[in-house]
Amino acid sequence: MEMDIVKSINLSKDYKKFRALNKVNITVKQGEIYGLVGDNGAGKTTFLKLLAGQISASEGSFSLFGKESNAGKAEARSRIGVMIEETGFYPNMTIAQNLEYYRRMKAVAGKEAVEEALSLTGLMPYSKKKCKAMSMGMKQRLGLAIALLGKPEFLILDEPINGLDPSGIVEVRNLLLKLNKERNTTILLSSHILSELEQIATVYGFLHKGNLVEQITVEQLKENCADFIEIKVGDAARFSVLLERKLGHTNYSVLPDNSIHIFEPGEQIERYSNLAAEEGLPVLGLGRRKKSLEEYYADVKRRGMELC
Amino acid sequence: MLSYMKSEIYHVLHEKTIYIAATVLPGLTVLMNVMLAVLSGVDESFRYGTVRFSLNMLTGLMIAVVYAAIAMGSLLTSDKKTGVLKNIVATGLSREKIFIGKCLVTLLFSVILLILTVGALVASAYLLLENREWEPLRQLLSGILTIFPFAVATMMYIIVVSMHNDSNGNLIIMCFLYLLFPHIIRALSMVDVFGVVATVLGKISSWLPLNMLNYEVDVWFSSYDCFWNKPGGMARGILAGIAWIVIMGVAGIRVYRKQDL
Repeated sequence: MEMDIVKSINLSKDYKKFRALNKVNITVKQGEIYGLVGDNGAGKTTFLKLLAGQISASEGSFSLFGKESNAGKAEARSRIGVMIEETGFYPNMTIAQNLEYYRRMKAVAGKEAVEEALSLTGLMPYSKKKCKAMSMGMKQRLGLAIALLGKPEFLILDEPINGLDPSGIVEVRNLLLKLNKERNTTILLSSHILSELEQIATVYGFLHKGNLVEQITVEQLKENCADFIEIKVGDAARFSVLLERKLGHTNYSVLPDNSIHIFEPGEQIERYSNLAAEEGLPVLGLGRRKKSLEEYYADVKRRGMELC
Repeated sequence: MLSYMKSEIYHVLHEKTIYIAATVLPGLTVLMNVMLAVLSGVDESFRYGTVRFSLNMLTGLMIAVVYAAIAMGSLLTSDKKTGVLKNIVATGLSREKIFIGKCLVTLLFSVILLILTVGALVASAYLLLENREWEPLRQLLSGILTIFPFAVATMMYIIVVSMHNDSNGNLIIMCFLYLLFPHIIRALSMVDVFGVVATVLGKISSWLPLNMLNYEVDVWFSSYDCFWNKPGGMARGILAGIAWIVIMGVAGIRVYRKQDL
């Protein structure tokens, strides 16, 4: 059985009267790439900062590598690479010097560790560049390089592809997949770019206004996003009654724009248009569709709003 | 903590600040002595080209050591502003160790700068100036020894305040309040309406090192009247400084433990 790298129990954080994180229970297992999804202010960064020890919890607890005590978590953090918000570095030192500074602090043996981090993140040609002259993309890469120093077993990355150009995004994505596959590095990352997360995450946690609305594996997500039929008719309420009475179909949802999503629809989609035609309901649109992560997230958010 | 200190030393050695300070401060003292020597050479009536006058300049302005501690603390504690501190915390190093490590590294470089500056002042004075007597050197070193613990406490204060405030403006205000506080206590102790309170404030005021420096140091060309040269004066200065180190140490650990990054 895979070890729990992170396990939070009712973890909460208040900033004065504002509750940024509310009783969040998240488990990240060894080898997973856990994607934390949520709008700005959903509590993603707050959760990551709590794990990194940068802020303290108001309520609840969490363990890192199974360690719950403060001393245990401090020891566990030496096995973690962190990149949260803008990474700190000394602007008057070069990229290589900043990495050397962190290498010494993390007590990583061998200067080649710096070279490896530079080469993994594509910063080798810029190693002698002063940090104050770095572009946004280079800052992100340096943050990632610092996080990668010492071959951490667990990476905590907050919006790692922010500010990267398209080729940089692909490089980082491939790098994370490679680390996960070859070194079995567990990764917990947050991102606004859901299409990117969709390509690497194996587990998702959906946060909304500080609440964890859903935690779901990629397999479950695929199941939940499986094929459905979208039919738009003149009178959605009447059609839904027909669906249940005449076809015995109860797994559907009616959307505000009068369209109906019919799940587990079977192979013959004509029967739905025929049903509408028989009852004199005009069919304005009909098609087979699959939910994207973005659409699924929108549904989760709706549920989150109901929870709040 | 040793790894952290090594990395901090690496950082300080790879910034210009320390080299500028190590050149400018001793350079200024040497320049002053060169000017005294030149003026003494060209004008026979010029009375200040002596070792005593040169060394007494620093002895009389011993508060400059405290200002230097403020400057060193400010120059070497940019890690909260740059965001480096949150990365350090994320490596698992305890906040107490970060605070202690930062104090030790800043102290190390401050002591090196102090030795270089005082060394340059003393060496150039004895090389270039007249009346090579040893008493002014003894007086100068006694003053430095007395005020050294309080200078360390001041440097710690800056490290604590830097953790709590991101902006330079706030830092300047906090330094100003730090320097003003002893004057306020002393002024209040002189207000008669306070009665017993004024007596207590007076006692406290006399144990505040900044007040000792501001009101109990009188050194000039021929006069030398300093609290550290009076019975128990040096012990009072050193003990008060140590008490401030303890206060700043406790405050520092509390602030470092609690501060969200």
